[in-house]
Amino acid sequence: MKTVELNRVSHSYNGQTVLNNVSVSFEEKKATAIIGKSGSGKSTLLKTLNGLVLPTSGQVTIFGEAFDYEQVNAIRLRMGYMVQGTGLFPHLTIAENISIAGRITSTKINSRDRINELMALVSLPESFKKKYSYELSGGEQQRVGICRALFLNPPILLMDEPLGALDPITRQEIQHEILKLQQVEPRTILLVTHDMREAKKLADYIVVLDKGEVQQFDTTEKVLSQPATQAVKDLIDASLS
Amino acid sequence: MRKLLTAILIFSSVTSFAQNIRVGSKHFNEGYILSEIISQLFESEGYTVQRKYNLGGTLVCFEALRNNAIDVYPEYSGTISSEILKQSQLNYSEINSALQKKFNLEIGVPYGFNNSYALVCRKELSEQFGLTTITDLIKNPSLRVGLSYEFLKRQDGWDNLKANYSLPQPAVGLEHGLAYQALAQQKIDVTDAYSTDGEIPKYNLTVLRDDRNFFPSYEATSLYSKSVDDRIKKILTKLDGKISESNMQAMNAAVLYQKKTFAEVATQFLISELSIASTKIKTASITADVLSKTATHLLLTFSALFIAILVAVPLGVWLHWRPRISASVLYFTSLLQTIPSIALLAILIPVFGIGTFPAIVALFIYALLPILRNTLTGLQSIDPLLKTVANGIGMNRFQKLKLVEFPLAMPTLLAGIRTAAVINVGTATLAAFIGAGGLGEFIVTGLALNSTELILRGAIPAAALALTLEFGFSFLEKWWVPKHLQSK
Repeated sequence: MKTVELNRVSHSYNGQTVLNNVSVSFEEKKATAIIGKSGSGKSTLLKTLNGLVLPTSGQVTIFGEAFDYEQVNAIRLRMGYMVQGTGLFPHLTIAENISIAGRITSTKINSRDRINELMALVSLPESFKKKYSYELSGGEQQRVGICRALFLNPPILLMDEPLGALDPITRQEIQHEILKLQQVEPRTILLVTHDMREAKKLADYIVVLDKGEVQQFDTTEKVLSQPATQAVKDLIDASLS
Repeated sequence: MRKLLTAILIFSSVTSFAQNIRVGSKHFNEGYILSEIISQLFESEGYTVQRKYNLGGTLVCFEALRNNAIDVYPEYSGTISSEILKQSQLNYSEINSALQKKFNLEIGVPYGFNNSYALVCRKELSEQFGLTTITDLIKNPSLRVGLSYEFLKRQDGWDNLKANYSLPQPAVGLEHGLAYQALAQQKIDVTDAYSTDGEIPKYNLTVLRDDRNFFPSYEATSLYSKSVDDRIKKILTKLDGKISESNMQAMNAAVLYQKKTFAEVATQFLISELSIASTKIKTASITADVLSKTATHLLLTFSALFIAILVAVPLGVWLHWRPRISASVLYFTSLLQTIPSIALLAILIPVFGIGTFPAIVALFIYALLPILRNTLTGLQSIDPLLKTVANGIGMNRFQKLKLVEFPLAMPTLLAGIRTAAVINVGTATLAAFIGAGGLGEFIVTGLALNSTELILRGAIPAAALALTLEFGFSFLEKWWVPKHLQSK
């Protein structure tokens, strides 16, 4: 089943075409990497999925229904969202950051248990709960970001280059955590990255974007072994050679 | 909070009842003394008097009278003609009919003294040379004339006076404050003065009569609304012709040099000149007086601050959501901020009268900008990534405001409120000029009396209040805002 679909979606900004006629659909409970150079439109594509960017034309379908922009906040509550640099709220403690989504939904959750459970899942010590984000390292902050995105146990996880600012070792550790999460409880992950190695490690499928257009959309294996265009080949060469 | 609102309501809704009279006064010695005489006169007739003293100047008093915020205040014929009617050379009855026609106001019979410019000399000198009038100066060309710079320049000053009387003496200019000393030390023989100056009896000086009526007349009298109760007009006639120039000089001197209070001087006058024993003078202790004025001051400051927060913070949020118009609204509030406080108070009198209410309105206007600007700046300077994340998580604009934007804007917002509070404590001292009371009453009275002690009695508690607020708000910030987000 397809949880998320884009049908001939285009987006332009200030007369510039950022996405051009993109049609892709993402497999449920699988991780798909959206990959491309800077300016390829990969981050914009992700933002059309949670309504942060509105398509100029075309249609987005979520959970089998056309995206209802009147209900955008309810839809977003069903999608975890992670960004580069974590975007943790500096005025909230780690525990408050993790459970923030609980404060804006009527769904009843035992916050304390859920926080403990999530922190254990990504190997964060309980003593961090009362700390503020500035007291944590980049990798620790990103783990908190994962907990926050998963608090309401959303079926979809949107990741906008969450590991872009981390050092290689920490990056590997977090990649490992993400793989672990998918094994424990698989969900539909859409991961924006510019790094083919990261895509290879984490994703079941890869969408390659160049200048707002889809170059190739296939299983990770297929994309790596049979690049469809020169742009795809260049990306593979740049990351994996 | 409810107590505060009730207090505001009570303060602003006190209006005149029957047997109630509101007496205004300009803020200078003679104005206070005359108003106190009027007040005590009415009290002796059983009236309850509301003393609205310290009203800025002619404009504030006149507007207050026109707008029925006071019932009567003492004024001078020359001032009415030049500053209110804007016509010079009117005689007394012309002034009265112009006032009635234009403003439905009227003046009583003069009190009996004319506080105009005059030339004065030492008494021994006047006896030695037989000087009683200005004309007498002509026969004594060797007398040394030293005049204030203002008198040298004025239309009704030295040049025209000299021409009118054909005076032979040259004149030197000197600072007015030094003129009396210079006379006493025999450095000069003749100088200019106001004819009722307290210095005249103090230095034993003789006023040279203006025998050619050169100086415009500044007859003191009561100015009141034509429609005021006849009984009030009748009571005011008791002062007709009763205050002589020497009476007035003596009363001014008693306040300046014997450190008597205005009330004491007025009581003494009513007893000795009119045989009226006024009701006993209440002398509040200094501490009680300072405390009650501090309380009024706080009431003014905090009511205005509170209303400003109620208006500026939601307005700031609204503008945050509408960035296109926020610049023009900020520009407009900045414009309000540039109106000088005294001018703003004067502008408000025709609309809100005098007293507590217009003072709160003025303070509200001054508090608006710092709070509004800081609310907006605080909200706008939040890291855009955090706003994107808040949206991405699924917050609606109110949740985002409550959970993310307000807490992050709080240090800036609190700084704005703190600035507004400190500005208000300072500006509230000017509220005394429109009869709103507070610590400013000490300051303006002290200025009129040239009494440092009285000025400090208002200035020190005001400064202490400003410091307390400063500390109070930084404490509030420490308590409210996580340490790493506090403003440095």
